[in-house]
Amino acid sequence: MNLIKFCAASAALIFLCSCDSNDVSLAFNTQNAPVQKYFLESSIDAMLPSDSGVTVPEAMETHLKVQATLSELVAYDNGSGRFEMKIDSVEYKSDKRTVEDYLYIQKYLLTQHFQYKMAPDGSVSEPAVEDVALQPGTEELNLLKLFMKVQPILPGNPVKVGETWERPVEIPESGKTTTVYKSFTLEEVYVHDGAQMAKINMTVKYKEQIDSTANVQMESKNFIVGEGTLLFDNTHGVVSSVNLRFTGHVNVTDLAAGSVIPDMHVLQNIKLRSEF
Amino acid sequence: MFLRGLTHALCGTLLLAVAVFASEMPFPHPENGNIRLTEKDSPYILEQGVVVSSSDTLFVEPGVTVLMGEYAKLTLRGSIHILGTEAKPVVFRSADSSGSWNGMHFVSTNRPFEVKNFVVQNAFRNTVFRSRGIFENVKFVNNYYGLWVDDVPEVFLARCDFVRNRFALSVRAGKVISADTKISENVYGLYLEAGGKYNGDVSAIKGNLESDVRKESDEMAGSGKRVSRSVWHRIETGF
Repeated sequence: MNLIKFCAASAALIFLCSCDSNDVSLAFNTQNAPVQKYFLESSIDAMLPSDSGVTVPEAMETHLKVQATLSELVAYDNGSGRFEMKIDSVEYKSDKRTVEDYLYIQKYLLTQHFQYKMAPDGSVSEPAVEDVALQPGTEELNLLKLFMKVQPILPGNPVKVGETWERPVEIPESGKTTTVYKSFTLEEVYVHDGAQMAKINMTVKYKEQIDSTANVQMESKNFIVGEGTLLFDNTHGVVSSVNLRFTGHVNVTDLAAGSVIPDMHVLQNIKLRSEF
Repeated sequence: MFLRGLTHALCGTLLLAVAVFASEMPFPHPENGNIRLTEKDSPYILEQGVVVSSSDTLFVEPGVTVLMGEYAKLTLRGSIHILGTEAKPVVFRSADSSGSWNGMHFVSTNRPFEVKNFVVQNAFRNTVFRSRGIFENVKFVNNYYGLWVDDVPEVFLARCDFVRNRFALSVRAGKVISADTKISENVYGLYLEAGGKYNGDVSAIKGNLESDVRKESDEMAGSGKRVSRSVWHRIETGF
C-alpha cells in the first residue's frame, strides 16, 4: 500500500514538475535592481503622400540618440520600486531645424531626468520629469513619453511559449492622455551567459488624439501600429533590448494657417538596449 | 620664492572668485505669493529653471541684474512687472558672456505682463505664448530667437530695439503692435508665420544681414511647398 502511495506521489510530482518547466514567470526586479545603462534611439521619417498633388516631394527626417542611467531609488513593501532615469548624453538632428536648434534641444534634453514607480509586471505609475520648470510642452521632445511607448508590460502570471497577453497603458502628455494598447507573445525562452532570456513579440497600437491646447493639431483616423521584438533578461529582471517599428497616417490641422495636411505618412523606429 | 609668489597669486585669484560668487544672490523663491528682486541684492544668479506660477507675482526693481547659467529658464505664468528706468534698466543676461541660457517664456494667460526699460541678452529663445502685455524700451540683444510670439491676441512693442539676434522677431497666430521699434543688425529681421500680423513702421526694420521681412506663406508658395515648419515640428514632438 505504501509502495502504491509512493508511486502515485512520485508520478504527481513528475507531472507537476513537467508542467512547471513549460511555464515561465516573468518579472521585473523592483527590489534590488542593478544600475543599468540605457541606450535609446528614435528616428522619425514623415512624408506627404505622393498622390496628394504636391509639386515638390516633402519629407522630414529626425534622429535622436540618448544614453541614460537607470537606478532604483526606493523599493516599496508592496513589491514596486521607484526608479530614476538620469540622462547622460544626447545626440539629436533633424533636417527641419537649424544646427543651433540641435544644440539647444540637446542641452534641454540633457536636463530631462525623470522618475516613475514600477510594479514587478512593468506597469508604470506616477511618471514625472524631475524639474517642473523643464516639463516638456506640446512643441518639445519628450523622453518620458518615448520611454513609456516602449516600456513592456509582463503577464503577471506564469505563461508558456506561444501565449499572448494584452495590456492598455495610459501615457499622459501636455494637454491629453493617450491610451496605448500593448500586446505580447512569448516566442522563446533560452539561456544566454547564464541568464534566462525571454524573446517576446511586442505589438503596440494607439490612435493619435487631438490636443485641444495646441494650435497645430494632429490626429489619426486609424490606429498607429508598432511591431517588434523585446528581449527580457528574466534572471536579472531587466529589459535587455527592444526594437519597435511604428507606422501610421496622421492628419495635421494648422489652426493659425487654416490648413489641413491630410494623410501624412509617419514611420518611427525605436531601439532600446540596456547594459549593467 | 617664485613658488611662494605663485601660491599667493593663486590664493588671491581663488579668494576673488569666491568673493565674486558669494556676492551673487540666488534667484529667490516666492514669499506670500510674491517674488521681489531688489537692486540692493543684485546681481542675482539663476542656474536652473524657475516657474513663476499663476498665483505668484514677480516684481523686478530698477537696476537689477540677473545672471543666467546655461540651464536657466524662466517660465512666467503669474503677474509679471519688470520695471527698470531709463537710468537704471533691468538686465537679464548670461553669466558667461560667451555662453547662452534658455530664455524667458511669458505664458501668463490671465494677466497682462508689463516689461519696461529692460535688456534681455544671450538667450536661446524668448517667447510670448497665449499672453498679452507690453514691452517698452526693451532691448533684445544677441539672442538666437530675440522674441517669438505665438497664439497671442496682442503684444505691444514701444521703443524697443532688436540688435544682433539671429532671428529678431517671429510672429505666428497673433498680432504685434509696434511703435518706434527698430529691428536692425540682426541676421534675420521680422518673420511672419501663419496668422502672424505686424502693425508698425516696417521701414524701421532695416540693415539686417540676410533679410528684413520674410513671410512664411510667400516662401512656401515660392518653393511649391505645403507643409510649414510648425507642422513638421508638431509631428516630431507629438508622434
